[in-house]
Amino acid sequence: MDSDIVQWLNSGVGRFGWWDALMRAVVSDYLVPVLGSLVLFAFWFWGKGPGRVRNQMVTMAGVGGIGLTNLATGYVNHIYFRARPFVDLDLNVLFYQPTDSSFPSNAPSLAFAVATAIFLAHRRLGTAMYGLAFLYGFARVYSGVHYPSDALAGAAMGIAATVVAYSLIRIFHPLVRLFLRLVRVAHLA
Amino acid sequence: MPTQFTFEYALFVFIGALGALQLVFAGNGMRGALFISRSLPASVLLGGLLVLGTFVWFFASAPRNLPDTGLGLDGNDQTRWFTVAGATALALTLLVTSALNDRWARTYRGGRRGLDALEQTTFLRAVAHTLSRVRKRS
Repeated sequence: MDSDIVQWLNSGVGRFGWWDALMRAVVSDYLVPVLGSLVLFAFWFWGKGPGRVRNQMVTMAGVGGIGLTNLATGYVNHIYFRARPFVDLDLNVLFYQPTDSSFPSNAPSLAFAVATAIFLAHRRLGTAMYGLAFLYGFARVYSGVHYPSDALAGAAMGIAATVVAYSLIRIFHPLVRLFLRLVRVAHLA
Repeated sequence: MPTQFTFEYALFVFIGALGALQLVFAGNGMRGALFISRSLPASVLLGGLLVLGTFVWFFASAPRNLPDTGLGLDGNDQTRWFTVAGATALALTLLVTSALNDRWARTYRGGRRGLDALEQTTFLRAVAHTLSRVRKRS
């Protein structure tokens, strides 16, 4: 079924030039990751009073989530190798051809980790970030470099990683508060 | 050894971070950290143009789907260079706006903590005020 979905989606490549150009941009290693990271970076400084403290806590959760999901996806990639769809199927690949394991997809996992962090503090912006993360995962499948299950597993790992990071931040809340107070003395929080 | 692409990636992030900071500081009314402190809408416009401009430049100037095992950057390198470029953009913003808005910031008498001080003064004035308060206490 995974293969059928990839082939069905990828059969659209070449039909609409503008759509392929959009997918080529979205699937890039640099568009969504940099956009998401810039939003997370700006989130540290956004808001006033307790709202800003909350934003700073979710920024830390986002950074922690990125780190955790990077470790987790890297570990699974290392112990379980699944060939990329373009290796086994006849596809029009819109992206360069990676040689590492397809499962789970690291790219959407990072985007979903960031989106989850933003969603914890700002529902509307978080929903938009989830939309962007979904589009990123979709573009990876459409372009023929991942199976849908790779993207879904990556998304689940990204969400879980940020939830774990946020839970740790809440458990170590007094330490986090102390850290923020120190940074506030330097007028950076 | 950083490649041409590494430099372009760092510049892309640096300009994007400059723009994002202007958008956020303008949204928070932190005039002390704005390049155009007299006008919040102008600062929002500047921030938006910087963010939009850097994305358009980066993706329109050359093909960017480069293998991360070849000419592109892998996740670790991206993280490293994002941190360097973002921190540089923050430092430059705070230092340059401290110089640009120094005359306006002179009347600051203290009392605001953290980033909130930037609503009434510049970063360097706020830090100097905090240091002098700490020195008086000790």
